[in-house]
Amino acid sequence: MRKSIFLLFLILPLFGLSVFAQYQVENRLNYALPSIVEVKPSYFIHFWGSLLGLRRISSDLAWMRLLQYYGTLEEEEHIHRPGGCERGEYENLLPMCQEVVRLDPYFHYAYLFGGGCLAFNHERYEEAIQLLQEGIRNDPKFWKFRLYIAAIVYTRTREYDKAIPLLEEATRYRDCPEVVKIFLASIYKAKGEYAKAITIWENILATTRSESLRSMAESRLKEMGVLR
Amino acid sequence: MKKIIPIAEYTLKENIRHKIFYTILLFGLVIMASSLIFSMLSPEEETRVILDIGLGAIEIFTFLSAIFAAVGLILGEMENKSISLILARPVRRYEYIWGRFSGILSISLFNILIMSLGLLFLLFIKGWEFNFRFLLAIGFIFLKVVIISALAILISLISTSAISSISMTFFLWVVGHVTDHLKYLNYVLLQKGVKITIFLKAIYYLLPNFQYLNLKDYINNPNPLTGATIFWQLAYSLVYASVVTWLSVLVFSRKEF
Repeated sequence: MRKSIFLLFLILPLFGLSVFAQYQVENRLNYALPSIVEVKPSYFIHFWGSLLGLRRISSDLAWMRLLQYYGTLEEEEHIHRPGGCERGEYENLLPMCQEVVRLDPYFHYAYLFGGGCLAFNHERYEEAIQLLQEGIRNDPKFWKFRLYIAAIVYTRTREYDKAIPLLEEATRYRDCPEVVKIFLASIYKAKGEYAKAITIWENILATTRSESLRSMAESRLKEMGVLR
Repeated sequence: MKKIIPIAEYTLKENIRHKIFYTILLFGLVIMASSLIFSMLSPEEETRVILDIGLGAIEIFTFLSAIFAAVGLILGEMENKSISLILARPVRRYEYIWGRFSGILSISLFNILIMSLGLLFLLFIKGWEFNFRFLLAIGFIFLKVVIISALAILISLISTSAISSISMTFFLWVVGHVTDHLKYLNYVLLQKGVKITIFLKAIYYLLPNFQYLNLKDYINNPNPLTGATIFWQLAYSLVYASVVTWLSVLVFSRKEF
């Protein structure tokens, strides 16, 4: 009995110390992730991933699902025409991007890719800006979000001369999604600046890991008389 | 202390002899290797996928090995009465519990080291740029395992079967990752006029908070992780685990064999 009382006297102050330490961590660690109740995952596996402390894996799975959705060649999903998709297609692109970045708010590439695709492939500028603004809220220090927003705004108002330097800057970074490079190349081509468009397509051909993009780059270079 | 170390060594050897230890380790390494296939689905974010799956595999498989060690060894010894042989020797009960706990932690550390080396190898062949937070994330996985191992021992002393013990520990693992949601629940209840804030706060501090140690979720977070924060995270996990282990000693000292 005496031993038990002694142990209780040891445990209680230790528990107090643990509460104090937890309180200290709570005050210092301002890394709150969006609550899983707010995220409302579309798939049970994403929900379970969050419960098991594997939110980044859940975000990765949602990201792969998004890539598969966006890469689907089915007629009902993707109506092809030279130079891109029909406007209004892939209506789930924004919600799917939002799910990815709400599971992991620091997934920068997902914001850039989603923003780039929405704006430059589908002319859904408002949705692109909405996604990038969410990125700014989650990580205000990541300045590329602002760069993309500026480029999107100029593109929307057809002020291509102002958009070009911003897009040029964006394409200099390794994490620049290919959709931005393609858009810049098409602006150059439309302006008759073929040399610059060729440089971009050659860069895509040399760096891309996607077979479809590789063949797209080859066909563009053939059109411009660079490849035979 | 002199008797705790031999018990820890014995636990380590006993675990290493067990087939389940190798099975878990092998599964962990296979999952990590399979991340190479998953990463092909996302070519632009290849290293991110490998890193996430790898860290997840390290955590889950170390957690599983710790649970099986805690439940299998202690509950198993109590069930087949072989514990009496150990306690018949001049070993105090607290030495037995702390020895077992240290043994489980050393086996977990061994697991984490092997799997981390495997993951680093995969990441480096894919041209990953080293990030110091990787080491912190691995260290914090170990801290989570420290807490869950202590809880697994306590639960195996309270419960009567291995299945209930494993499921209770798994439940605590899940709940420990969502304790922050108690704040949200409190907010919702307050809006509906239900005031149980003190009760919810008590639960919040009683339950382990694994999300505070889940650095693998914040590996790309731009905010710096200060030394003071790391100190308090470390202090929290060690103090919480020691509270639970002393509770196990209390429960164990009142048991009769």
